[in-house]
Amino acid sequence: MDGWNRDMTDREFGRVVDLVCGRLSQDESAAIRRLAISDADLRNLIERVAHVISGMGSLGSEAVEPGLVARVKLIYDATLLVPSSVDTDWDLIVATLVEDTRERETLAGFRGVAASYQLTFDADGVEVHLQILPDAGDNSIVAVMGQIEGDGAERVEVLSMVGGDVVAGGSCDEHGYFTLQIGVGTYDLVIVAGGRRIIIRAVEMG
Amino acid sequence: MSTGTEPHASLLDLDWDRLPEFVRLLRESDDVASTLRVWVAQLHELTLKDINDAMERSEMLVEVADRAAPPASRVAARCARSHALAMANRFDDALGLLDQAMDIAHAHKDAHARAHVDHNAVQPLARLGRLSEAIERAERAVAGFERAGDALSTAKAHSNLAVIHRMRDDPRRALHHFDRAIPAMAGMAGIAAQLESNRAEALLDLAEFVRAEESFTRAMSAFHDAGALHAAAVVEGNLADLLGRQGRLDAALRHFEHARGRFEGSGAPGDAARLEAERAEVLATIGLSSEARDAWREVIPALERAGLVREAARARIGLASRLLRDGRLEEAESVARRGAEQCTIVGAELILARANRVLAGVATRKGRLEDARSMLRDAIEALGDAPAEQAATIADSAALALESGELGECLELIERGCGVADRLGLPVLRANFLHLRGRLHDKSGNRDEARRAYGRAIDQIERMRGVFTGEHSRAAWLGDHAGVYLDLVRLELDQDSADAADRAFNTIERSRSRALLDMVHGGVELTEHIAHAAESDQESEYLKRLAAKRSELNAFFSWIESDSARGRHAREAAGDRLATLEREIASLEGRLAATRRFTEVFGDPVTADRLRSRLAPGTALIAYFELDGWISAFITTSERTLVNRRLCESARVAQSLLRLGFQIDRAISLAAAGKDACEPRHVGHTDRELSALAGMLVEPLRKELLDCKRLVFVASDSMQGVPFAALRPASGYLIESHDVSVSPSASLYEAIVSDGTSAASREALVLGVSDEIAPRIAEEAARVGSVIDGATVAVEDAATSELLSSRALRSGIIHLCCHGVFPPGQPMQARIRLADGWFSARDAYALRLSGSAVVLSCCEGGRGAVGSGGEVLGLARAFLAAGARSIVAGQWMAHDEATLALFEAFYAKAMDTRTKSGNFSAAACLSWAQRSILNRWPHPAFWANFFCVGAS
Repeated sequence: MDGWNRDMTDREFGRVVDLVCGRLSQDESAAIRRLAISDADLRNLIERVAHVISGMGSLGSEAVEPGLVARVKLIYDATLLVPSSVDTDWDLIVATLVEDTRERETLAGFRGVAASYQLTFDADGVEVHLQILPDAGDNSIVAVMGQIEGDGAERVEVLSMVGGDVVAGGSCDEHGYFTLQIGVGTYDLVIVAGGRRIIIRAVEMG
Repeated sequence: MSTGTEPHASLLDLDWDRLPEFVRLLRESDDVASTLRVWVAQLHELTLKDINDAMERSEMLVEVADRAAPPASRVAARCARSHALAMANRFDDALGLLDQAMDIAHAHKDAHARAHVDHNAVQPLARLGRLSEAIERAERAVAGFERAGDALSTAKAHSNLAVIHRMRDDPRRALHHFDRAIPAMAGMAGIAAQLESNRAEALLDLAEFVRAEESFTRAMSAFHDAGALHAAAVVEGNLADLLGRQGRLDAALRHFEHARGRFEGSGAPGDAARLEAERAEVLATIGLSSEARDAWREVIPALERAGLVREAARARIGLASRLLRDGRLEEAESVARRGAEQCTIVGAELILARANRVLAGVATRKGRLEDARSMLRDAIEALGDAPAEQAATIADSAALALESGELGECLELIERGCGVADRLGLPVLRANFLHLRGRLHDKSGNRDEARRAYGRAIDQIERMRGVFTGEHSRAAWLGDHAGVYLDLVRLELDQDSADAADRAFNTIERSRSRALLDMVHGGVELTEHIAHAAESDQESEYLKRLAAKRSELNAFFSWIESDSARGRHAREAAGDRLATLEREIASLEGRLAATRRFTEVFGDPVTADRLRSRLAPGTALIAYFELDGWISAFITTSERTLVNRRLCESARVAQSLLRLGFQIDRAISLAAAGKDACEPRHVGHTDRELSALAGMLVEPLRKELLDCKRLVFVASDSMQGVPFAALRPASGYLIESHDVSVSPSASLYEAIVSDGTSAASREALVLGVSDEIAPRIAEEAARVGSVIDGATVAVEDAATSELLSSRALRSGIIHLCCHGVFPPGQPMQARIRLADGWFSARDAYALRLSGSAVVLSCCEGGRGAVGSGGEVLGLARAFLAAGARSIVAGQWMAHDEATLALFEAFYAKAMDTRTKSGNFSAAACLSWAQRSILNRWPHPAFWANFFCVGAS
């Protein structure tokens, strides 16, 4: 391993995972750590992978789980793109899209068309439902209503994908509802719920 | 060609090909100057009739004069052309040409010619707002003509001065000069008419309405007689402005439309824009806010392009005033300030005072009361010569004094302003002052005086409402004046008297859905949405344009459904185009309505007493209303009317409705994806909101509703969309224990109940258009048709709007099962899909129904948008206006299978319970049908969307 670079192979990434999981030999481990002394990027990589694996709850596992490296890399890639304004000391979960009603061109079994569309995300058992409705008088704005099903939903922040600034936000009520009004565009959402931060990447609004 | 003894050749014979011939003949003529004088006179006449032709001929005239005429004639030709240029609003070109003329006059030391040039420069300078220069030139012209002993020209120059002084908002000085000018020109028909019209404008400024109207009418008549139609149209526009200021709003709109017809294509865009700006003032007074704002925004650039700075300033301030009234403070301030700048540039003091009035309004809303008082004081002083305007400013000042607690000052101002309003016969202002007086007495604790004043204000408002010929205008007018009704309601409810509830109820009913009530009582011809036969060329033109726009709209409806309309950009473009088309169609409909004569269609609002006599025992009508951000309710049974105040905050209901909508949409989405929407957690989320709504709106009324099994609900504005049948108090869904129906107002309920027309004994028409998304529609049509004896069933290609229109009148039951769409923000585009295209709310207005029961078995057929005056716009309203007496329709997406089951049960019950005369209660049958399917489809999304408007 010569050092970290963005083009590193899956094999090389796997070695970092093995390092963090304690599965390398002493010599191999020492060699990578020597490199890391003078390579800040490699040090960051090791730290982030450790953080990811810690969040996955499989730190120190002795067995090599099939697909572990791929899963770590998936989450790692997602966390690489976490907006800089997000405090990464929190538990981070990247939500996955479960349903996008726009994929259905028609509303099967109903006698009309819907003006809004809905997105459903899952984040480790927490469901996030969004309804996006165009504004009746202004094409450039959408109204977003959402509900977070799961304990302790506190607030939602909408972040610009360029620069990561917070462009909108709101608190959730006791039933997990929130409402927003924002300009048409694509945003990251960060949801604070139950001591965790759920990140929803690249949500198309409008 | 003339030789001095023969008749002169006409200017109308001149054309570019013959120009050399005219030049040659003119040179050979004995009296060139005389010939030119005749041609100049002909050109002046032509300018009043046909500006485009006058422009071309004036150019030829100058060419001929330059080649063959003496200097004085060359000056005269240029002056005549400059007049034509000015009439075509090309003021800079006119002045440029006059500079040439002045050079010629100077070179030949012709003082009389110089006076003519000065005289002709006055109009373009004035129109460009260069009033001081205009006055200087006019005074020079007067002096020059007097020195030359030219009495007629002196008189004309005086008339110019008069016009300028008027433009400088000095009508008294203007009148002085008009009175110097008119006697000398009495024998010159066209010019006398022009002077009469100008003098009338000065009288209008002084609020001498009667004398002004007489002068305008005389001038218009004289211009018509002389065939000077463009000039007649200008005067008619001024007459319309007078009528608008007097509060004779309907007549004003009619005259504006008539004048407008003349201006289109006339080659005078500035005059057309000015007319439109004045019309916008009338629209704003009526309360047609968005129409007025659109008109002003459109014409301000046109006025500025034409150099009509004063008129542009006036339009800006009108726009600012409306923005202020609509609560858009920052915009109002910015627009008013720009208008004020323009007023300062042109020295338009009266209009500047209007700007300060608007700015004072902004300051008041921002809490800067001292600034506001100071601005209003200055404005009142500046408007000394314009009593009508001054009185309107006094009203603002009185309102501010009231707000500041200066009751003595407020009373003084009201008395002063009211006196002016009475003397000048200004009903709009009078209503405002009566309202203010009511508020003053209210604040002072003089309840009886307050009630009297409010009552008189309401009477005045309703008298004015009655003159409007359109549904939209009546609704807008009432909506704009809803405040006085609410103030009276508040006063009544604060009384501790036995009849307080009755009195408050009666007042609320006078403010609710009155335009629909008018239509239900007297027929649907009140609406702007039906095209009547044309009675004039102008109406024919409007009808042609309207037909074209509506065709385009229908074509668009079909395009939206097509594959090429997928994707965000396509949808956005479609949305923009639909909104534009809607504005254009509404504008044309409004213009057509303005050309119609008075429509004597009035519905009488119900009183609490009369309602009680109509309600069967066991029936309660619950009419919600909103006051100061809270929802309250009147509960009326056959025995009594009670009021339950401050049930809940409107905002909480709105929030709960949003969440309910979210859950309903989620259930629909799950069902469309083939997932189980009836899972307990989904039903639980929805039921929680329905329980919350019940807790706010129904539970507090439990005691009053104990003995009632039939409930009729009248929703307030923010409650539109509440599914009353599914509200869930502790005992379960309301529908499980009651029959539920709704009504736009108690008055409409009473009107429908009183309508003795029997529905079921006549024919039944069932139309169904299915597709692969909603395949059960055809089955529904067949099953419904099989249950009703003798029903005509038409499905797929046979289910056309043509069939519907032709059979509507004789059908007692009309069942339409198909797709439906409700575009948010465009309620008139709510529509259902039949075999031959989309059938919209506008089409429904044009149906003729006689007491039919109409069932819209489709998505969102019953959805509505709240407009002015509490009127709920959409398909259901249109069918009611067209004569239906029961409507069953849905508020959200209709599930294909559940809807089939619902209406199968509905009609089975209907046929089972109908009376000997064939009548059945649509509300009872729907309630029964909903109960029968709710176990199969536990989620309210599947059964609670349908509601019934009609007798129970």
